[in-house]
Amino acid sequence: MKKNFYLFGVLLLGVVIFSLIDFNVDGFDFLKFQVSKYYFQSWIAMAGAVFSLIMSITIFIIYKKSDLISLKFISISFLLISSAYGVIGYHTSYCKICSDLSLCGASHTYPNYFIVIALVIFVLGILLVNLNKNLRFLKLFSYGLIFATLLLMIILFLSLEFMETPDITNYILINLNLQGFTFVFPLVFIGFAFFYMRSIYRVTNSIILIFVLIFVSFIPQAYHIFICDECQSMECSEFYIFSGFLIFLAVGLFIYSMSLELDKKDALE
Amino acid sequence: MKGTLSKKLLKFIIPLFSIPLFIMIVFYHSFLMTVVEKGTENVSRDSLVRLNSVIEKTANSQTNLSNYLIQEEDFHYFPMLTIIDKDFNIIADIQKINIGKKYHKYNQELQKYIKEVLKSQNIDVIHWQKMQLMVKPLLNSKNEIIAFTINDYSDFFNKKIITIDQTFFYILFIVIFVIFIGIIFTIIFAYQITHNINLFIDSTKIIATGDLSHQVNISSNDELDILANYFNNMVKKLKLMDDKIKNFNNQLKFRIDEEVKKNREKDKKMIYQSRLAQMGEMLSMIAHQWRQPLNAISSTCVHLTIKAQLDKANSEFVMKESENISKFVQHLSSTIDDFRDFFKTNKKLQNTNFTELLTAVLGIIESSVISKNIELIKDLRFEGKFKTYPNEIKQVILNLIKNAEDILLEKKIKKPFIKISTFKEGENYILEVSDNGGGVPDAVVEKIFDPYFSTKLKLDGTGLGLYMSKTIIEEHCGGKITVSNSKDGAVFKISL
Repeated sequence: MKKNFYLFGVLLLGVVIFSLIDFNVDGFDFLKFQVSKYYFQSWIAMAGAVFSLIMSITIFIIYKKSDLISLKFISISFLLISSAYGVIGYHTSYCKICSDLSLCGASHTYPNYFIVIALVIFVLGILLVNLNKNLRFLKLFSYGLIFATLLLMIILFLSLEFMETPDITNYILINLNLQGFTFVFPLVFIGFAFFYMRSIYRVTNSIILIFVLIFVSFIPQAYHIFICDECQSMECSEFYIFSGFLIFLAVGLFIYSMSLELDKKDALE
Repeated sequence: MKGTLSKKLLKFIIPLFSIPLFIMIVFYHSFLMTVVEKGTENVSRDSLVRLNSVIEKTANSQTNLSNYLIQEEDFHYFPMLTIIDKDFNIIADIQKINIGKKYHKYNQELQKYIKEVLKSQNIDVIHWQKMQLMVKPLLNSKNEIIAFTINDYSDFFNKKIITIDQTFFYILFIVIFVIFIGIIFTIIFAYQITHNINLFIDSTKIIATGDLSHQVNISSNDELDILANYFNNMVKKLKLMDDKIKNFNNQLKFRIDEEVKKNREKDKKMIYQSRLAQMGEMLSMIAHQWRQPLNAISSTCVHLTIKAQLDKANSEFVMKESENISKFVQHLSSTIDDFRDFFKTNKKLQNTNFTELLTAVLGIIESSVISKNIELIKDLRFEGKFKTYPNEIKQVILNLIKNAEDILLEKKIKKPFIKISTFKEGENYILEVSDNGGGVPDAVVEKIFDPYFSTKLKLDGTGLGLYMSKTIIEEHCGGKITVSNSKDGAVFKISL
């Protein structure tokens, strides 16, 4: 797996470089806290952040009780995703353009849920297979999942009552923002990691599903950053790219923990 | 997810909550669409009705109508408004680009439609859904149709639709996420159910291998827990019974070993007895064989003594008589050798045939049989060689001939005979010993080969001869010995 992580390091550097290439914030002051209006997409991001945070805590508790090292990385992954959602949530809470009913916010909030789903599937797989079918951990996981889902549902249904809906914005979609590569590099890494793993381990259908979900989650994000002129000219793309950077780190840890599990499975067989 | 029970649960539960949710979503979407369409239509209709008053105000200054409509607050919903006269000329067009395109595309259909309106003088607002257009005839003070307003409400409608679509997408996202979490919970639920069942199966497998000390460890506080308790009690009882059976088996084994040991000793004894009996018979045969040469030696000695007393015994005579005595002694010695060979235990397979075996046997017994006026008939039709234990077969043949001789003497048969036949029957080599002693009574045929069973009580039979013969033929030589009755008497058949 060393090759995988050399590539990860190189691509992470690429992400940093390409995020700086088209850096354009139109005089925005990052240090000044923006007044939140809780627009449409901020609620979805907020729900994602809370859900990921609860899952992170739950999995960390399971890791402490089971000493299964791969769960530690999954817990950190969830924490990073929660942070990424926090960044998107903050931005979409005040940015009228990103939070309207069309492209910007939705291109990042919804797809990141695919990664959350992939992580949940993976953790369930570990608990069912690797923890010697211990019901105690499975119960703990399901309690965490219930609590996280309840909070997510409450936030999403509350949002229907309290959200601000801005007017429809007509987008100018003819730009080519090179910062979009920061979402292409993760795609390259995921593709490489999948084929590399498939050449070494016996990859199951659930692992394929996980890879597909992660891969699919980056495509709309990359597409949006490439084409959206509004996001490039304002500070929006910088927020999304920072969240993408965090998500990329989370995916790296996720794939590392996956390789640990596959190594263990191979050793057992 | 292995195990059919888990899959069955998943197949049942997942559609149970996902299908109604999807159906709900589809109905919700169609409901939203209807509401938007209806709302848009109502707004358009109301606004177009108000248009009449505007037309009246600007009746003689139609060129200013567009400007008026743009300024009119109520018409901000209708940026796409076109007015055409009866001859289909555009006289006012707020957004020429889009409506122009639509108008030209559906020009013919629209003209046809307007002609029908003119004919029928229908002045209601007409909703042309296909193109998202509202058409309203404009009247002058005499209530005559002078023009038509065509309102393209698609832009307004689309904006509403985007909102509705996004809200719907939001709800759909919630539903899909709920379905996903539902699937995860179903898997966990199915697993929790099957986990204990799997534990049960694993324990049953262990118990099935014979480990009755194993217990099912389930503490789920449900029906399975109760079942596990009953199962454990059952296994405990089974273990007790198993222990009892094991003890009983051990005792039985011990007793069987004891009995087998006793039987072996008995067999040894029987073999020894049989051997002794046979040796006794042999001794009588030796005695019979020796009688003649001993008589001859005795008479030679008497002859020598008489000659010596009469002083007629010259050296030539003495030498001749000595040679005769020596010949008789050699004959005696060879007889002894024959008997000794007969009882030698040779456990090696040897190549031989029935003729060789019979020659050896008859060398011992023939003179004894003939001396008792029993005719010995030999019908030797098979000369082929085979591998067997010669001495053991000889003992069997001797035994059969002796038995026949005994029965013939016991029953005092007139013209007694013993017939020995050899032949090949299929792949088997057959030797038959038959007599005319009347045969074996049917009542004892089944028992004739049993140990200690004898019909020769008066002749002190041990009842071991035929038992030993059967053992030798069937267990040592791999053949078969049977008895049947012919019209004259018994027929013993050895098949090798």
